[in-house]
Amino acid sequence: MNVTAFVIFLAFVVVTLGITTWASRRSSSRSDFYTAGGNITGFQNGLAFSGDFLSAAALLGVAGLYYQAGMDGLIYGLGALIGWPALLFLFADRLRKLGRFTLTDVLSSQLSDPGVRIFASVANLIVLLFYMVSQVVAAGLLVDLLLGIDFTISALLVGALMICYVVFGGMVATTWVQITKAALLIFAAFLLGFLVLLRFDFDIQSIFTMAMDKHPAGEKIMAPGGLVTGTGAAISLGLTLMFGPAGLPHILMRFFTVPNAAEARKSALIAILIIGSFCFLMIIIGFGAIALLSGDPAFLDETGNMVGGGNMVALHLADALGGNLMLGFVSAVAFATILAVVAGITLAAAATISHDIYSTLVKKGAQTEAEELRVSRWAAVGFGVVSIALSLAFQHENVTFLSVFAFAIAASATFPILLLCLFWKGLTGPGAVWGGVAGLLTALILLILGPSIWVSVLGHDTPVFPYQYPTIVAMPTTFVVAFIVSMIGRSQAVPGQAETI
Amino acid sequence: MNDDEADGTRDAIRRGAPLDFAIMGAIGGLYMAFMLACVWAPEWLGSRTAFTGPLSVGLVLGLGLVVIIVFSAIGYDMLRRRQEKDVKRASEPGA
Repeated sequence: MNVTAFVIFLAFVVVTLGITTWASRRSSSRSDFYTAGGNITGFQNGLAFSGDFLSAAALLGVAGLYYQAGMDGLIYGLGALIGWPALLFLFADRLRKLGRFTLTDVLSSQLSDPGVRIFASVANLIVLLFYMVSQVVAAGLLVDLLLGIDFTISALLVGALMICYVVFGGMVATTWVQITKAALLIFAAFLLGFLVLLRFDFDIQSIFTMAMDKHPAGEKIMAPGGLVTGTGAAISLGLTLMFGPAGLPHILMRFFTVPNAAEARKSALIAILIIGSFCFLMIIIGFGAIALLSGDPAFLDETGNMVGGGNMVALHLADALGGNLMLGFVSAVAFATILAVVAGITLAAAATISHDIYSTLVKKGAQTEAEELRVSRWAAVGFGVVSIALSLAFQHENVTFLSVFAFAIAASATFPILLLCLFWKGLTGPGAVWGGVAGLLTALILLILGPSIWVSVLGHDTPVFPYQYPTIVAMPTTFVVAFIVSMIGRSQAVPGQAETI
Repeated sequence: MNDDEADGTRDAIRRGAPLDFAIMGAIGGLYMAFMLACVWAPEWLGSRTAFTGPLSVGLVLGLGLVVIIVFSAIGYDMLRRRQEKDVKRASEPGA
């Protein structure tokens, strides 16, 4: 075990538990619990947004991809940024004006059909659960790799901490944990980038020149390789990365934590600035890793591969640049990163269960605020326990498809319905429900028939559906079905009734 | 509903949508063009002949996209702030 990493991680846990204690005194109402009372500033929320988006994969995974394939790292790195135009230009202002606590509130404010709330709640929970399990499994594996702690203990530790943050601190604690983690992650990336540049006397040209000289692929690392293959796959991946984030409940919920629409827009702008800077830094870090680590026997095994696998590139680079202290710091930041992301997901799930399902659908608003808060806290515990149990069950499986599925449903079912709801006056309740269900089922079926499950999990030779992401088919399906059902509904409505649907 | 509830009608929400969709469409189009170029012309994207330095065409285009997103976001926020100030000024007594 790396003692430095353990000590820094322990410090992070102590600080975040302190934040939770402080936040618990400020989370007395439903509004405090779900949305921090709308008192988070645009700048703070922008940092928290960055924390949500810049996961451990953004640092460790992308650095590994640059090291392995050069330019392909940029294509993947752009994925963290490309979802933001939709969030800023289409949703930020409008969601803040319409929403109160959850995404379902926004849809219900425009479509009074209870079916819309049921569909949105179910879709949200599916997205969140699948995303959560993939994150917890990744966390367990990462901690096992970084700190040498057994997977089961790691998963239980992550689960216990995230439940603690959410149950006691609500959105206030979750937001400040995200801000702390985002600041640490950005500092770590800046420090790594600075140390790489320092090593090359701030001559960027020499980094790329040495990277091309040392990498086995030579100049080919400057061109795209195997990440995007085929026109359909490129379009489907592009649609998923562009519109998936705009359908993720825990991301959209964050727009309700600021006091007004201008602050919501500002928070998206801050997130774009931070994530955009991160994209630049990762190029320096990635190509710096090729230049400094390639051919160095200290970081390679007998077969010439990176010790510990591709995800260890950023950590080995930290070791090469700053020794054990830097390695420990970056390792602890990577773990803190996962911890903060899962807390945000748990809170969004608790809000969906308590506010959208229990309070509005079951109790029809007849419960007290204290009762709803109590249900929220129990929902957070229940969701956390289920997630941990599933992650323990799936720990030996390739769970990549779970996060793929979460993004695909968000881009295919949730995003189109939200977009139509905000911008098309003709959308009806049944149109939204049938469109959303059609998109959800299409995404599910095509995902099962695609390479992620049909080949990787079920062991068939070739997939029935050729693309990893089903968005290229499922998203248009949602739009078309929602349009047709809405048009049929409106044509059958008596004159004057349609406008009130 | 929050404090902006009075504004929360579908018509108010759709206000400014053409500009928003135009910016979104332009950035989305550029991104899709970049993704398709990665499939159709990896050799061209890997070319370094267009530049004197070591950066490839692909890296410069990818970084250019990042810069476009960042600056369009800054410009959009400034524009909306100015519009909001104008609306506020116009609604003040005596305006």
